[in-house]
Amino acid sequence: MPGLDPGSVVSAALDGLALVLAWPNILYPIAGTLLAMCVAVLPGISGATLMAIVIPLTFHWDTLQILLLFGALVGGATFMGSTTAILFNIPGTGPNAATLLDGYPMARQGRARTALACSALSSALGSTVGVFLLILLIPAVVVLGPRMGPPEYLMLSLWGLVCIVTVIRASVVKGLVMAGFGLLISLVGLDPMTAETRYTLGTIYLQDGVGLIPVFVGVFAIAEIIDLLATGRRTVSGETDVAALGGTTAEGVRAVFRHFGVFLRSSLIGTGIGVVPGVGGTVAGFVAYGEAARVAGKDGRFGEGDIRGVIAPEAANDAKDGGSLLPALAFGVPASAGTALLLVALQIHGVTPGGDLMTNDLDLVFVLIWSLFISNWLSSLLGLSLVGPLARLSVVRVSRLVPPILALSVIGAFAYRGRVTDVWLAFGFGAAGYAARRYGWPRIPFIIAIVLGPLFEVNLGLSLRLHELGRIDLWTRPSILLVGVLIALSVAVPRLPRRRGERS
Amino acid sequence: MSVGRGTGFTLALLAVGVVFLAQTIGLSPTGRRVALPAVALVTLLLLVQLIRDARAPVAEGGETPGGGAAPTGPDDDARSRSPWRSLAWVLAVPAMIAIAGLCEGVGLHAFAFLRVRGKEPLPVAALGGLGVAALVWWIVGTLLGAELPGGLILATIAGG
Repeated sequence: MPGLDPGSVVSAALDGLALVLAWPNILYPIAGTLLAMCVAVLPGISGATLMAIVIPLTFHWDTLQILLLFGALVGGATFMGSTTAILFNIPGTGPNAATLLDGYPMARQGRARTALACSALSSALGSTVGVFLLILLIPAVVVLGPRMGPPEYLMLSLWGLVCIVTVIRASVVKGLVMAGFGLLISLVGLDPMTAETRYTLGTIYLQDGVGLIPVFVGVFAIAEIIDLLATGRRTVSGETDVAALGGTTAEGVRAVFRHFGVFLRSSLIGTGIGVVPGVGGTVAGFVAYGEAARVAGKDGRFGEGDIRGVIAPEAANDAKDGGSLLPALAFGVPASAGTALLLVALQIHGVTPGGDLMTNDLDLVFVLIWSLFISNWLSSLLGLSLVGPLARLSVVRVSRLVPPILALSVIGAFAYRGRVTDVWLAFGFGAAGYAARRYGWPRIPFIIAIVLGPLFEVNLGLSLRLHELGRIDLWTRPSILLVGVLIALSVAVPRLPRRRGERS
Repeated sequence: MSVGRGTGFTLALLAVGVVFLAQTIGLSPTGRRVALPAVALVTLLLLVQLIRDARAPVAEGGETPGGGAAPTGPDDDARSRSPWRSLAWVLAVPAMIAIAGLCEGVGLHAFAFLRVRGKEPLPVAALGGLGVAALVWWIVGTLLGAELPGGLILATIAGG
């Protein structure tokens, strides 16, 4: 693929922006955002599901209209999924799962408004960083992207697993046990290298592996419902009057700027992971969360309502959206389910991703990017205006909240693969998650390991095989060394100030 | 040593770990490349935890996902009036789905929960049950276009 000069990229970016803002083109991102916001608040229905539903309706549309609508569908769905994560401990989509780790404890402390506002602004600013980094990175990624291989993915997953150690606070033994169980659960099903069945207990159902969404729904939402009932709390926040709630929208907005370093670092992580095909937003959210927890060290109250635990995954999620478009459009390699469906839609309309699109039709690429950007901001601004009404849900009586939350949990688990067995699985993990919570076994390492396990195992196998065949030299790849240095720093840096402190 | 409920949970995890270990041993060298170190570490650490539990019993309850103390609310002290009863209420959902079907089971559970546990008036509970069933039907049946699984009752009627 020929290289691109920065001048032509900027020119195409401006042309793309003019196309998006032209009348009536601007209506498509607005309509797409509103549609995505309404639908994404329902668990199990992600932006990708919505795109799958919409594709057949767009067969007669122009390419420009498709790009405008699909950019908005991806952007609008991301933020709204976090509202159910914060308010009810139910991740709207996989990428919102990391948000609930601190968002929901904040809601329980009566600070739902702060968490929601912080999530909205982090999302909007995160997408801004993602888009502008994308513009800067396009010339470099077009050249460097194809050189990413299994060793780089392996190192990336290793980085995420190392971050687990940093989120274990109370008991390292318990945290490592839970991480180990997460890794083992992620291995259930067919071995990706040999197709050997593992831990399936002789069932066909488990050959497809344990679904992430049923596990998330069980370990967090259902476990939390059992806990709410067992504790006898009257409302999620413990308050019965909205006026008694602490936290404000302004506080959430200020928090993003107060922790600007966390926001910026998470946005960079999100964009970087977005560029890597096949990794996805769930990993981006958890890696950013783990990194924020690592940097905070003993100052953090991660898992107990630390606002940085909301900023990090939300910024990474939305920054990732911009980055994930790049491999899809430049090489035809989808980075997520959403970008895979986008490629399908483009190919239906005769648009082939690759060198021609990135050089001759770069303005069309930017139409998609700007539509995504506008959608991210629009959904976040609407989200900010809805903070008050949404926060009221945290003072509704638990006895009235439980039936709809259980129904949404059932829907989320069932919609994942259309199997009622996933519903049983979610309730099984719910009971186990409640017991883990009750007896002080941390759930976060379990979830992070379950997300990163397959990525780690597949790329370990591929890297070792390629090394055996003499196809790669692990020690001469700069990206491996770079991530290796990052891992070493992740382990070493938090300990340095402590030692200085101990000496003094 | 009296076996506390915290220790009981550790023992339950150890049992699960042993099941994983037994299954891992039968795997091929490639299949157990990641699994064996993971399960060995888990089993070893669970034994360490059991020894710790025996030496200093862990206080129950109040933990957060991160393992620290739970955030407290005004009425959090009422913890655990009956965790078993709460667990039974929640696990009744899959049981109802198995018996009555996805849509009907969730709706019936919502009705029973609102009426018995929530002490809502009959019309409110009935409306809540219907609303929840309609939500499931709309999202799963209409929006996602998936077939709504029937329960044992439907299977029996169809079979008869």
